[in-house]
Formats: sequence, C-alpha cells, structure tokens
Amino acid sequence: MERFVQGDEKGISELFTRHAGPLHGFVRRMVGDAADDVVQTTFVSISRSRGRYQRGAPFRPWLYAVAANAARDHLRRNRYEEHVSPAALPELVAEPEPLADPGLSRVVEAALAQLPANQREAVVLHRFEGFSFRQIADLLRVSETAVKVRAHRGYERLRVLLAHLRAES
Amino acid sequence: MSACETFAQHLESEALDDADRAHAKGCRLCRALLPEAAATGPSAEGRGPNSASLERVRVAVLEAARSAPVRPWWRLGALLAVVNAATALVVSVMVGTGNWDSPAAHRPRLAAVGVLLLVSLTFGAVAALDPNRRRARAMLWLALLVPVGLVLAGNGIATAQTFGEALPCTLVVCLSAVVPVVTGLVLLRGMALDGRRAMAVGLTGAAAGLFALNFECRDGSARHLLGFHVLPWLLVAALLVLVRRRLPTQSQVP
Repeated sequence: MERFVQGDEKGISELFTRHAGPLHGFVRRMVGDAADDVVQTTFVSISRSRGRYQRGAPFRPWLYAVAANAARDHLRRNRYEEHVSPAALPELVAEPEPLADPGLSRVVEAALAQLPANQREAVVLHRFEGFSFRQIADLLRVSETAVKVRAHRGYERLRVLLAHLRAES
Repeated sequence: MSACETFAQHLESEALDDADRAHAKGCRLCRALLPEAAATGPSAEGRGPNSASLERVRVAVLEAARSAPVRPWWRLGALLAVVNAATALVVSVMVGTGNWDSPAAHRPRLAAVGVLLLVSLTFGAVAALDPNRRRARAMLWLALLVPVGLVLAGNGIATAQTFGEALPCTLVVCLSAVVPVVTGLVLLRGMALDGRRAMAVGLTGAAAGLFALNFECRDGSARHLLGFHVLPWLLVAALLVLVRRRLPTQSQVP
C-alpha cells in the first residue's frame, strides 16, 4: 500500500490479487448479490483516496473498514434481498449430507441475512473474518462495548434461528 | 444445555476450544459456523467471485488509480484552513473592530479568544479532516470551549436592545460561513460519511464569523453572545451535517 501511495501502480494490483477474494466473501455476507459492485466501490475508493492511508497502519483492517462503509452505504440505498428465502430454509437442512455440503453454507448465510445489518457486520467480522472485538471497534469507528453488544445480540438471534432449523429438520 | 447450545455460546469467545471443535466435526450446522468451513466449502467457492468479474473490477480499480492523482489528506486540510482563515480576515476587515477599540473592552481576553478562534479555523480544520478519527472528533470540544471563551471575554454590557439590533450579528455568522462550509462539504464528499467529522468541519468553518464579531460586536452580554453568535454558529454546523448526509459519497475511505 505504501508503494501504491508513492505512485507504484503494481501495488494496488498486488493488493487486489491478495485481498479481493476473501473480501468478496465478507461483502457477500453483508449485501448478497451486489457483492461485486461493493468490492469495486471499495477498491476504487482506496485508489482515489489513497492519500488518506496512514503509513505504517495495517492494511487489512483499513480495507475492511472501507468495505464495511461501502456495504453500509449500499444497504442504506437499497433493500438487502435475501438470496435464500426464509421459507426454503428447512428443506436445505433436511437434505442428505454428502461428503461436501453445499447447501449448509447457504443456510448459515440465509440465517445471517435475517440479522439487522449492524449485528450481521459484527458477527461476520468476528466469526468469519477473524477480527477481535477491539479491531472491529477500530474499523467500524465505534466503542468496543458497542461491538460486543451487537455481536452478542447477533449470536443470540443466530442461535435461535439455527436451533429452529435444527428442530424442524 | 445441549452441546449445540454450548457451542453457540462459545462462538462469542475469541477462540473456540478443542471440545467445541470436536463437537463441530460431528454436527453439520455447528460445523458450518466455523470460519474455515465458510472459507473453503464448495458453497463458498461456487458463489464467490468468478475470474471474469474480478478482472472487470481490477480494470476499473486501475483506471481509478491512473485518473486520480495522490492527494495527501493534510494538503486538503491546509486548503480548508486557508479558506477559513481568509474568510475570517476578509469579514473582519469588512465589519471593522468596534469592540476592540471600545473603552469597555477586555482586550487581553478578546485577544485570547481571537487566538482560540483562529486556531480553530486553521489547525482545527486540518484536524477535522485527519484520517485519525480521534483527532478529528477532538474538535467537537470546540462546541463547549468557544461559548465559554466568548462569554468570559464579553464585558457584560448589553448594547443591542431589540431583536432587530441584534440580528446583524447572526447574519454575519451565517453569511460568512457560506464559503468555508461549502468548501468543507466538497472535501467531506471525498471520504466516508461520518456525522461527527462533518460537525467538526462545520464548527471550525462557521467560526469565521465569530472571529470577526469578537473584535467588532460591542454587545458583551452573555444573552447576546450565546443567542446571536453561538446559537447560529451551532445551527450552521448542524446544517452542514444534515446536508452532508444527503449528498452522495465519492469515496468510502474513513
């Protein structure tokens, strides 16, 4: 990133190669099928505003902060359409379990989609992207207590949703 | 409590233990919540970005990099500082220094408040645009410091007896804020929406009128200073926040 700030175009290309795939997973859990657009907005924002990068700061939390802002902005302007309808959830859980389990991740994502955006954000960043609550607080620009509260509520709702699915299956 | 419920509770922990992972190996739903399952499962691969869509995004990103020159954030902060200071000085020349020349004025206190306001207009503007959000938000303390400073510097003598006599001060604050606030809005569009940062930019920019009035307005009563100087200053800053929320954002960088 520092090379990119100093004018080396290859810097952003390497960052893109390294981070775009995993970032796409996070963004997809936040906004669903609009993930491509939001990932593009994220990296274009970084390109345009690279002068705001604080040298020496770790890049990944900053990248996810930008992506979280872009996802939030997208959700503010567009209704998030679940890519799996709630009615289909029990059928997916009841499918026989193959060695690989393609339906189950969709079930978890559909359950995540039922959470309010700020709870979903905290749960996804914590559970699936591996950030600590402290790091999440820094990149979302809120207090650590607020993050813990959002994550706790998100996990509670997720637990209820998945327990409901388990009982139905 | 069932093993699944225990696993679900431990999800909130910073690290799952061996017993949780052993349970997840045998339980489909719990296993799906493990980050490694989400990252490597066939569902994630099947629905991840395809190489064509990623390549399109890469092209757009490189195009943005080529078309947008590097602009260090402090240069934009310096630009805002210059606009604020220039506006304050021009308005000061236009309205005069009636208060400073008045025999009832507390000149050392007026000078001190003048310095506070000038620092707010300049260094405050740079700090308000700082990527470090704590420094930017520290500028919100101005909302407390400036009113206290203005009231302490006032001589306590009320000269504007009617609303009509007091209104020109409000007009000076509002009209002199136009150029700094518009400049601030343009710069704020180039970063992610942040209400507190926008408020900080508004407080520093709208202080141009306060600076000029500090040396001109002879009414030193707390009622006049708070009602016709401070209140419009706060309202202009709040208006900037409302307008910023409605403007499209050009970049989501904090």
